[in-house]
Amino acid sequence: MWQYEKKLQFPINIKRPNPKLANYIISQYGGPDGEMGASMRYLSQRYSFDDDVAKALLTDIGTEEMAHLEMVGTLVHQLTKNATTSEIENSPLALYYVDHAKGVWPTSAAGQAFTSMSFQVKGDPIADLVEDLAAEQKARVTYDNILRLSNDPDVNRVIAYLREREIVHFQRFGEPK
Amino acid sequence: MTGNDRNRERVLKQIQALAFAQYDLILFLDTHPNDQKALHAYHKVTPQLKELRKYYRENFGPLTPAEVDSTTEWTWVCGPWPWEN
Repeated sequence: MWQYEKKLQFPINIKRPNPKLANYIISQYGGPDGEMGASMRYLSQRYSFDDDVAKALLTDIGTEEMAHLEMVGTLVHQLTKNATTSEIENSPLALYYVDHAKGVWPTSAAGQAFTSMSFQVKGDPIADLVEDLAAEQKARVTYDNILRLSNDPDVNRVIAYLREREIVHFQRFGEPK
Repeated sequence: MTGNDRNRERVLKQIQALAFAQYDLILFLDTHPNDQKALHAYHKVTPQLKELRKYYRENFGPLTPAEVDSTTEWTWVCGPWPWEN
């Protein structure tokens, strides 16, 4: 089971509203290489593993991904909370706003709803672990892309942290024997 | 922001730093369960974190619903929540 901790894994305090940037970042909430898919991938894959090291790793990294999902949701929330209707209307978030206002809903930046088709549970340890290695790289690239599109240092600090965690997870997923 | 808010944020940041160090060690130990240096570091950071969490709970409220101290009020519902600034 899980118990909620009333804290983020890394502090977030965004000062300037930026609905355009929120629209980019939401892809790491519900997009194809986002944190929702990451957590569900690892926490679902672990049942068919025999190796205790891999079971621990999938459980603990899957859990950390839920903390990252919360961080991405927090970024989207804080980037939109004080945005005016006019700022939203003149940003790519306008179409999202029609259905979700300032709620945080799992979708990709281009508006595709979250789907479990963006990850696999193959029931085979080699296939699953190799997918996990690739998934960490794809998430790292997405954070690289976001860093290129953002010039808010308060946001970039958080994105750089999340990017670094993808690299650590990639390293760990290569280690089970 | 009051002095108490600032102090709460300062202590929370220390907890976040220690909890991060601990979590990174947890992942490393998962794949290196016999690494004595990492195990030693885990046992160094864990009591420090426990102590700091106790200080936070006593001064600013519970971090989990299972560690509510108050016998007169259900303090778990009190904000701010982590996504708020």
